Amino acid sequence: MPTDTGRSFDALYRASSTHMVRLAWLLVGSRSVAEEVVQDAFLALHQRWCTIDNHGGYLRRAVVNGSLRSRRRSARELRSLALLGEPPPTGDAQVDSMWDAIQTLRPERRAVVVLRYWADLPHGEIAEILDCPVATVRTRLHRALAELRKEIAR
Amino acid sequence: MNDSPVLDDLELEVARTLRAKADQVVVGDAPFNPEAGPTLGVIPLARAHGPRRRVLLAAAAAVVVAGLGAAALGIARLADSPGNPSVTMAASTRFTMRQQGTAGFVPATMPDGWTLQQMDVGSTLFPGHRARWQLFGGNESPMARGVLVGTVRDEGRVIEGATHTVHGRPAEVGPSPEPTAPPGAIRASWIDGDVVHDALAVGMDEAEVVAFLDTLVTRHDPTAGFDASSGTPLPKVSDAVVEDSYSTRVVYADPAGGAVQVTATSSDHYGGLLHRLAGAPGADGFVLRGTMGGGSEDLPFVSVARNDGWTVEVMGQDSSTIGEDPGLLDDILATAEPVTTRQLIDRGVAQPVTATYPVDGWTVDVHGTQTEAVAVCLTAASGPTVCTTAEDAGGSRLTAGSALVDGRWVVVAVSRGESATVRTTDVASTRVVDDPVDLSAQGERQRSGDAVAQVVPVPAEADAVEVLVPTTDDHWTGFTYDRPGD
Repeated sequence: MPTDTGRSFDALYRASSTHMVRLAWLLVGSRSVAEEVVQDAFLALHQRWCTIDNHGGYLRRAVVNGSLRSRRRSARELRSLALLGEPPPTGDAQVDSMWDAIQTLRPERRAVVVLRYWADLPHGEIAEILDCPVATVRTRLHRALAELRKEIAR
Repeated sequence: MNDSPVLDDLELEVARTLRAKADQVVVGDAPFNPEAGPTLGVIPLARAHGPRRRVLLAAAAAVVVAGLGAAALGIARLADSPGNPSVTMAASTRFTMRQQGTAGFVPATMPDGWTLQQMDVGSTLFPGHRARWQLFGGNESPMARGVLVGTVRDEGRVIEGATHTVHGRPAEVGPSPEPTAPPGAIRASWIDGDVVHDALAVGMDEAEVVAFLDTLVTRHDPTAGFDASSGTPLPKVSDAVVEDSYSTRVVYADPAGGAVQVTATSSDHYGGLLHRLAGAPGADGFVLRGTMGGGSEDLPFVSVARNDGWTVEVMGQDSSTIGEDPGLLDDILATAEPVTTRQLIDRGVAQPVTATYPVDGWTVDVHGTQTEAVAVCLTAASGPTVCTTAEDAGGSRLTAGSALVDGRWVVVAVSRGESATVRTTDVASTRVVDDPVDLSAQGERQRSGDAVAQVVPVPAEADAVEVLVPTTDDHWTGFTYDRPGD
C-alpha cells in the first residue's frame, strides 16, 4: 500500500473511529457488536482504499449496513458478546425512558432515527446510506416517531 | 440540508437522548490493525476472501466506560477534525443553483390562509449516482403485471438475506419496502460483480418474479441492463437513466397547523417509471397517488411524472392535513407551474426581514417565515443589493447562502454560538477532501448576541465550498455550494 494511502487511512481512522463506534452502538445497543461492526467496516475500506472515491461515505454506509445485519445474529452470540458490559443508565429519567423506547423500534426505523437526530443527516443522505427512496426515509421516520410517542405515553 | 429544521419536543428529546447515550461510549486510541481480519458473524463487504477467524479486537480491549479523562482526550482529538487538512466527517447537502431554465415547480396559487413555510432550492440528491431503470410489462395503465428493473454500479451493497437465486446469484426477494408501490409489490435484489440490480414487480408472486428475471438477457455491458427474451409476455416498455437529480421543495402551512409540501425533482428515483408501472395517464404525464406505506394513517400524496422529465409530488405532512378535503392535494398539483431560480428567490425575498447583520462593509438581511430563513440579501457599502436563497440547518444553527456580487463569488453564513467553517471542497461528492483551504479567516465576521454573521469571498480557483457547523463533538453538518454561474 502506498505511504500516502496509509497515512490518509490512518488519519481517517483516528478522526472517525469514535464517531463510528458510537453510531454503531446507537444502532445495535451492544458495544461489543458495535466494535466488531466498525472493525469490519474499516477493514473493508482498508482493502479497497484505492478504488473508492468517497471514503467517509463508504465507511458510514458500511457501518450502518453492518449494524443492521448484526441484528440477525443468534441470541446466543449476542448474549456472549454482551459480557463486556454496556454503559449504565444515565440517571436522567427522561433520557433513560426515551432510550428504552428507542430500543423497541425495528432496526430500519431505529436507523433512520439515529441518522436523522444524532448524525443530523438530511433525508436524501439517509436514503443514500440505506439504499432506499427518500420517501421511504420519511415514512420510516414518521412511523418511528409515532411509535416513540405511544411508547413514552404508556 | 435538514428537511425539518424545526424540531418538535419529541424530536428534541430523541436527539438529546441519543447524544447522551452516545457520549457514554468512549473509544481508546489504539491504531487500526488490518492484520486482525474480519470478525465472525458479520458478512464482509468485500467478496469472499479466505477463511474467517474470530479475533479479540484491539480497539475493543481499549474500550473503557466513560471516564472524564478519557472523554476529554477523545473529544479534544476529534474536535480538530475540521482543521485537519486531510479528514473531515461532515455531512452536507450540495446546492447547485440553476441560472437558466426550470429550477422547480411551485403552486401558482394556494387556498386562502395557506402560507409559505419552508423553501429549499437546488439540492442535489445522490450526486455521482447513475442508475438505469427498465420497465417490462404491458401497455395498460396501471399495469396488471409489470417489472421495473434497476441497474447501478455500487461497490458498497451486499445481499443481506438471500432467499432465491437470480441469474445464478444470491437474491433477496420479498415484499417491497417502496412506500409508494401498490400493495403486494415484490422486490428482488441481486449483485453481479459490482453491479447491483433491484427489481420491483406488481401482479406477480415471488416465484413468478424470479422466473421472469431469469429470462432477461444480460447485455454485454453489465451496467446497460437487460433485454427481454423473445416471446416474453412482458416486453420492455420503456427505460430511463437517472443521474444527478436536482430538487426544489416548498412547504405551505395552514392556520390550523396542517402542512403540505410540494417537491419537484428533475428526475426521480425511478426515472418516472414507477408512475408508468403503477400510475394512470393524466394531462401532463403519469399520475401516482396513495399514501406513503398504504395505511390509512400514512402520509397522503399525489405525484405526476411529467412528460418533460420532471416529477412533481404534493404530500400532506400528516395524515390529518387533508382529511376534510381529499381533493386538496390534486388542486394544489393542478396549479403547480415551472419557475426559475430568480422567481424562487423573489418568493423568498417577499417574506419579511427577520434579522439584519452589519458585517464590516456589508449588510446582511435574512428573510424568513415562521420556521426558517428562505432568502438572504447582501448589500455592499457602495454597491447594489444581491439576494439569493438561504438554507437552514439543524434548528437554525446555521443559515447560509451563496451569490455572485459584482462578479465575485461570496458566501454568507449566520451561525449560533460558534463561527461557521467555510472551506474549499471538491466538486465531486466526497467526504474526504485532500487539501481543503479554510477560507473563514479571509472573510469578515461580526458577532451579534449569540449569532455570528460572516461574509466570505471565495477565491477564483475554487469550484466548490463547504459551510459547516458542529453538531456533536466530532461531527459537522452544513452545505456544499458549487460555484454559481454568471
